[in-house]
Amino acid sequence: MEIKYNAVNELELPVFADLEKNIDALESIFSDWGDIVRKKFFLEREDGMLSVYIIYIDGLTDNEMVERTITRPFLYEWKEKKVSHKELIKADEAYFRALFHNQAEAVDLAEKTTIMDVLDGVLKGDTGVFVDGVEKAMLLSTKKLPTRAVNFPQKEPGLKGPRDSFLENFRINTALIRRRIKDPKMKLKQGFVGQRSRTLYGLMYMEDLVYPSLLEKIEKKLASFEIDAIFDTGMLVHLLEDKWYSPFPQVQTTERPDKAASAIAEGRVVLVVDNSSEVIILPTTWNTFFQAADDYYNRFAVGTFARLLRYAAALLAVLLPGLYVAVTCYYPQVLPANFLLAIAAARNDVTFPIIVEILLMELLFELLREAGIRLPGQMGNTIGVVGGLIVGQAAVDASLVSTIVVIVVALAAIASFAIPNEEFASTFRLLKFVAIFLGAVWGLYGIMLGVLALLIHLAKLQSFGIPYMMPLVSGSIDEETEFQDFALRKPIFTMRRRPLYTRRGKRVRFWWKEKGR
Amino acid sequence: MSVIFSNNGKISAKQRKRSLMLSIFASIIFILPYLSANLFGESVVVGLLVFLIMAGIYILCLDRLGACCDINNKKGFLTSFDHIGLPGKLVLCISLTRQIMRLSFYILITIAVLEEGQVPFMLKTKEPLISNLLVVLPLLVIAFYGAKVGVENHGRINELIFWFLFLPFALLLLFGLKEVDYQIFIPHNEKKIGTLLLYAYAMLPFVLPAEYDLYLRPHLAKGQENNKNGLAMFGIVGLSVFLTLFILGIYGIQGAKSDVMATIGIMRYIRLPFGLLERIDVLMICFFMIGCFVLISHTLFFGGYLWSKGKEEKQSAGLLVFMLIAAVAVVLWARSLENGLLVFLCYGAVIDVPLSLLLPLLSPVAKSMEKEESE
Repeated sequence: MEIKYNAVNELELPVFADLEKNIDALESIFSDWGDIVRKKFFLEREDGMLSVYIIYIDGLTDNEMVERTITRPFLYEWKEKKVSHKELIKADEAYFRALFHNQAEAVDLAEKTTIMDVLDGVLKGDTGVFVDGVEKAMLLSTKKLPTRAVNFPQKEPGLKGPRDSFLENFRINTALIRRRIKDPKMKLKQGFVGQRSRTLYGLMYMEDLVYPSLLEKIEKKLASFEIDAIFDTGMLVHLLEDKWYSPFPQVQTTERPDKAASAIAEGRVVLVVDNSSEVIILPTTWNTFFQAADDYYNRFAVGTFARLLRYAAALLAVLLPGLYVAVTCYYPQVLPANFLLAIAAARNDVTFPIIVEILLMELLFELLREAGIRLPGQMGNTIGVVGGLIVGQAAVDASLVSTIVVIVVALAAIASFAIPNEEFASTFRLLKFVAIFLGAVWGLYGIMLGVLALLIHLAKLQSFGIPYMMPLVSGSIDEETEFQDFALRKPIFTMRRRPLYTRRGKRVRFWWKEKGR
Repeated sequence: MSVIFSNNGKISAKQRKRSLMLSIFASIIFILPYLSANLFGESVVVGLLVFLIMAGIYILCLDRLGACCDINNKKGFLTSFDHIGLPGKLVLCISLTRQIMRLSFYILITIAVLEEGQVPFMLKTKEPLISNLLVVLPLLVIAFYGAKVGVENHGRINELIFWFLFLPFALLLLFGLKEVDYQIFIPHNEKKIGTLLLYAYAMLPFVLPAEYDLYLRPHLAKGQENNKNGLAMFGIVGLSVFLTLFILGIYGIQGAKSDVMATIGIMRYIRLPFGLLERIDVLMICFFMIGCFVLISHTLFFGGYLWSKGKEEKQSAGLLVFMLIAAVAVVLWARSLENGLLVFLCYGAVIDVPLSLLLPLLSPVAKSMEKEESE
């Protein structure tokens, strides 16, 4: 049979009543599939023999489960019963249902009327069963995808709080969130994205807290494009962002289930994508990137201090090297005399101008970072030690750079690592080079031009309709609520209301029972 | 269906206040110490008080005018002038010219600020050379970027940069206290009352950005109308006057008379504690730049806004570029801040300030003419 796919890579083929036609179609579709398991067999019943065709993919499917739920109840348990009629029979719908609901020992099964629907299931690890005479096939959930165990969060570790993180398995990820919010109002809307990868995604949200307009916007956005394959949330993120040219991430990703659950409880939407160990949180603001999960598990003073430190770190990470270049090149008179002399002494033997010096060190640092990521565990650590201590010291000894520059670059690097979100921190590292360039060309004026451009850009930026710089640009909608979790992380009992993402009239989240709402 | 942010072109009272306060403060603070020292001399306290009262009356007039326009015309001051033929076009052209004139003066201030701030490649000359204008060009581009927005984003930008402008002055107040000669605050008058009034009125063009309130008023979100906006504007003029006296107290009236950029020059005398930095004046350029940005960007924004609303079309980038080019042409004609200041004060006092009160009155007239035409 000739198989034709439509423009979006889908088959428009129904399940035929004639089993042979179905087999013909499936054989054509799965020709040259080494890992496909298919078998036609006959069920011997009192009224005759019924042809059945079973299909699944080896490796994605739990073979034992197929055996236990389908083949054994269908075949072996009938073996000893004497069958008088040997002629072939055709099933009708009632027979079909009775077969699966009374004889098969499966709970999770679904009737499908198109070959495409069956294919979808089979490609996910389900088992398709076709019965002669019925224009339907039964899909039994028998998935057993290769997966690893739930592990520590690698990119967002914390001293306090849960230690589990998302995996590449969609269902485990949704379960990790479900175990944290046991509320029937938390919904999970599933769909597919990617014509060829047919990647499963799920939108998780609290039905009563989320703004319907937000949900609609997200669904519209997801339906607005066609792509051949999505392998990770990282790919989807780029398609969801409005301003592709912005250096700032407009959606947040996390590998921590507690963070995702907390976002859902605030009326935000979590997008879980199959094969990805991170989920996407929508919408997002600048401030959410500075929030670490353990801020809320620590005492409020500690949480606030950490938060303030992170904001200062962000400023340092972007501006420190640029400011160093600007001040030393154009305004040395600003510095105290002793400090100026120390800089001069440190630079005494250095051949290169300050801008070359700092770029050299920054590039060296970025190289070490990149190499450290690519190298496996222990070797990655080694490169850090080799790079930081040996190469750094050697560069100073060889008069390639001065000690002050090493300190400035190291400080900026440490500051960038204090930002809890890696993607966000990368933006700062990138902007640092722009600041260095502007500082070298135009001193403080140049840096401030950059800062102004950045502020305007940030003020214009939105994430799914929410101003990115909330609550700084909230226009005093509800200042008490909006600033409760900003630079200052207030005590939990004072954060009585959910933030702006939550639907109006549903914002109260805490009250003392004695005092009431 | 309820939405989180409706993006309906509305701003909050806070955004409106911040936008106006930034504009007024930036407009006053750079020149007032120099100008008041020159105009009032030893009578500066009394002179500035008269100026403050006059500014208060002007703000009150604008506030009442705005309220009156609101009653007569739901759109506020803004109405389509394009529908009423030649008079309408004339009003639009006058409005645009006013903004261009202001813009050119603000560019002159910017050049002076950057010169004083020792920005690399700025030549400290009496005339705005082309090279200086080239250094200012990136700031003009950024101002253009900040002006090519809708009202909502304009409000957000102002909300975001609000505190940046006030930081150097907070430092000034904190660390400059011991440098002040408090004798300056003792009221002393040598001038005739007529002269005081005349000079105070001559300084009124610095409060002209208060006029923008008429354009922002129709964009206020529901429930945000009733606020103390007039008081906020008056308060910021009061703060500027106080800071001016503070600066004169450090710099001395004679010193301020000869330094157009006394506000920036004063930073040379501020010392940070613990010997943290030797000088902070050059660092302060970062914050003074925000003031320059505010002046240019706001003028561009409201110029473009007035034109687009008057013609009922989208704000065009071409118009903003035209405004910038025209303003630069005026700068090249004026050649120096001193000349520009003289022109600005004369033109402002004789034409711009009266027009700022008269033009809004045309709005109901235009509205009724439009109605008649449609009938």
